[in-house]
Parts: sequence; structure tokens; C-alpha cells
Amino acid sequence: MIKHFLETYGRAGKTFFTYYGKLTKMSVQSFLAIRKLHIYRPQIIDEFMVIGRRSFPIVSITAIFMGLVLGVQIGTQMGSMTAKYVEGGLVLRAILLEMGPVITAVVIAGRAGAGIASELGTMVVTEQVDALRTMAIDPIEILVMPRLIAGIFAIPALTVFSNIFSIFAGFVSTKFAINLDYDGFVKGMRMAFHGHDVFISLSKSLIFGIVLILLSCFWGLNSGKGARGVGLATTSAVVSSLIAIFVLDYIISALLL
Amino acid sequence: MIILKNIHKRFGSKRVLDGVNLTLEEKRITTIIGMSGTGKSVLLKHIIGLLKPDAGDIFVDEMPIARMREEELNRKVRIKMSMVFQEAALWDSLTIFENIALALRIHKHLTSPEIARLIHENLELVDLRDIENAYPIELSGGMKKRVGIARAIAIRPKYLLYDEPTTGLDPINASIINKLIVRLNRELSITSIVITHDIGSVSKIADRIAMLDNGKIIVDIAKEQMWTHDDPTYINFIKGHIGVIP
Repeated sequence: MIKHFLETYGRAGKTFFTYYGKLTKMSVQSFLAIRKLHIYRPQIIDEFMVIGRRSFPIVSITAIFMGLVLGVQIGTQMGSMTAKYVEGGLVLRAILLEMGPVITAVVIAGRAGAGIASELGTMVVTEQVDALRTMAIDPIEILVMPRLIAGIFAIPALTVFSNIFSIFAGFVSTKFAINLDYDGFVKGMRMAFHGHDVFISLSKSLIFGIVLILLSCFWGLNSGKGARGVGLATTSAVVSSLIAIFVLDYIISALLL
Repeated sequence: MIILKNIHKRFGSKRVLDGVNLTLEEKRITTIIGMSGTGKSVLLKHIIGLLKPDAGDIFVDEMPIARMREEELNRKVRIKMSMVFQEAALWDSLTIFENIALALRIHKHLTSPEIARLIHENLELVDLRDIENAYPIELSGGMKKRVGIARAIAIRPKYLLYDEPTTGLDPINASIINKLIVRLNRELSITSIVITHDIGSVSKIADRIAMLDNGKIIVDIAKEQMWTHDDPTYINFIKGHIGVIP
């Protein structure tokens, strides 16, 4: 009984530490590979297009509806005792501090993260990664580092657009929900705004971006065999990215707010 | 010269290589034959350092490579060795031009016109023209394999490893690949190691024949002994392939 318990949990512990060891090693190698950035400039531009431009429509749509819902929810929850203009500030801070960076990262994890994991997984299964190694090309340098750099720039940029669209959509829905005019909404935003909020918003998006790109690459490069292996790697990439985003969101909020 | 000394490899409880000893001579074509699943591809991957042996060592030009780190393998071994994969393993997000250009851009300090000229030359060598802008998905299986060979020879390797180069091809394309392997060996003096279970190919291209069975090299002979060697497992394998029931 005790032996079985120790064996089971020992094996699980070993797997856990092996995976995290590999992930840490890959992450360090990816950052060290930035010194060869000049060689892989075309790959970085390609990846920026994949992660940034192609995620833009879905991020925009999500941001607009998130803002609309937020405007309605806050508007209807506020009682008649609260001044209407306060809603401008509530929408602004909710979006900048939480909804903007978190929802954008979640959408990118589902769209770009899944794409990265399945693409790299397929490359592993079809020996394309081995082909890189046989040609003395480090897979981390050519496959992970360009995606990491692209993510570092693309994800905060997408978050900025997401914030802008959400705030605008929040204003539109507030207008319809509680008939708050433009001047009142802006007054509320001005009263609630702190420059620090922008810093937190961008810091969160940057950290979420780095983590989700590294996790997606890691699961892709460690994909099992066959279609099932690639499918599992993709699922693991998305699930672990989502968990990491929410855990980190709490930690960053607790530390910076 | 490549020397494999007492190579052992296990995957979990399955013993794949069980003391492989083999010498691969320079400028020759050595074919390694054996039944499917005997570990031929595993052996090939050890030679280029994609896999590490559990025990034993591999010497490439007298350098022991079994314990080399990845960076050292890249610098000392893979710079003079290439591999042609069974399914070509072309990078499907890149054009044929970019597939061949990638290693040249990273390892050789060449100008763009020089790279373009080299790519054109390599494609000519494998009898392919006007496909530089195509993507791998647009090519047939035989063409993909030839592009795989063009990519592998782009850095002018001393050693070229082929993993079942004719598997899955029709007889005409298989014959084209066989002739190409011989031509590259003769014209570019490339030492070739060919994994195959296609006896037709072996009879056309081999200078030496080695047979892997139960994790060991059980036959290592010159081409001249191909039909006269008397090892029973080897005879059964050869006869099985030419349609004679043992």
C-alpha cells in the first residue's frame, strides 16, 4: 500500500520536475538565442504577422463585445445613488487592469498558442525538427526565439488595441444602458485614471505573452507521435497557458496593486 | 571514416541495438539492410548525433561523438554530414528555394546571388528545374526526395546518410534516386550510408552491404559477395525479397 503510494506519487513528481526542468532550460536557451536575432530577422517578421496581424480581428471582436457587456453590467449594477459619471472610471480601470490584458492573452492562447503548438508538433512528427538539427540549425534559435520576440512586441500591442476598442465599446453601451453622455464618461475616466494602470496593463500583457508563447513552443516541441500526439500537445499548450495566465494575473495584481 | 564500436540502445524495455560494430569506409556506398523495425533508422540517427547510445562510441574522422554536446556536434560533425529523410522532411512553410537556402544562409557567409547560383546548381544536380518558388506540398513524392537530396548536398557534405530513400516510390522514381545516389558518390566523392530494405536498390548502388538483425550487424560484406554469402538469415532476407520462398 505505502510502496504503491510512493511509486505513484514518486513517478508523478519525477514527471513534473522533468517537464519543468526542460521548460526552464528551453526558456533560458530562447532568451540566450536573442543574440542571434540578426540571422533570423525574416522568421521574426513572419511570426509577428502570424501572432499579431492574424490575431487582430478576433482580439478586436472579443474586445468590443467585452466592452459592451462591461458597460451594460456596470451600468445596471450601479444604483441611482451613485453618480453616473463614475461608470467611465469603472469601465476604464476594469479594462486596463484586468479584462484587457487577461482576455487578450486568453484569446491569443486559443488562437496563436494552439497554432504554434500544432505547427511545431507536426514538425516534430514529420521529422522536420530533426532535419533542422542534422543541418546544424538549433530548433530553439529558429523556431522558438523568433516567436518569442514576435510575441513580446505583438501581444502588448494587441492589448493596447483591445483596451482602446473595449473602452470605446464600454462608452457606447453605457450610453444606451444608463444614458451617460460623452463628457460624463470622459470625466469619470479622468478622475479614476492613474498612469500606473497603463504600466500594470502592459506588464501583464508582456508577461502573459512571454509565458504563453514559451508554453506553446514547449508543448509543440515535446509532442508525442502521430496525430494524437499533436492533438494532445495542442490541448496541453492551451490548458497550461490558460492556467498560467490566471495564476500570474493574481500574482501580478497582488504585487503591483 | 566512421567507426561504430559496441553500440547499445534501449527504448524502455525494448533492446534495439545490442552491440553494433561497423566501419564505414570513405568514398564508398555502404548499404545497411534488415527487416522493418530492426533499428536501421535508429542506427543512422546515432551516426549524426540525433540519438545518443546507452553504451559504446561512434568515431567520425577519429572524433568520438557519442558524448558530444549538441553545440559541439553542430560545429564539428554536422557541418560535414547531412541526412536525407525517409519522407524528405522538407520545411513545409518554406519554398523549395528557402528550404535549400536556409543552411547556406546560416552557415556560409555568401551573398544572395551566390546562394541563388548554388541552389540552381544543386537542383540541376538532382535534375530538377523551375521549382524554386514551389512549396513542398505541390511536389510529388519522388520530387520531394530529390529536393531533400539537393538540400542535403548544399553544404557539400563529406558524409551523406540516406534513410530508406526509395521507400514509397514507383520503380521509375526509385531508379532515378538510385542513379542519383551513385552519381553524387562518384562526382562529389561523398561517402554514402544508405538504409534500405529494397534489395533491388542494394544491387544497383552498394559497394558494401551490412545487415542488421536482432540489434547486431550479422553480415558485413563487399558487393561481390552479395549473392554468394552463406549466412542463413541473410539468405532468407535476400530470397524473400526476390520472391523465392526459403
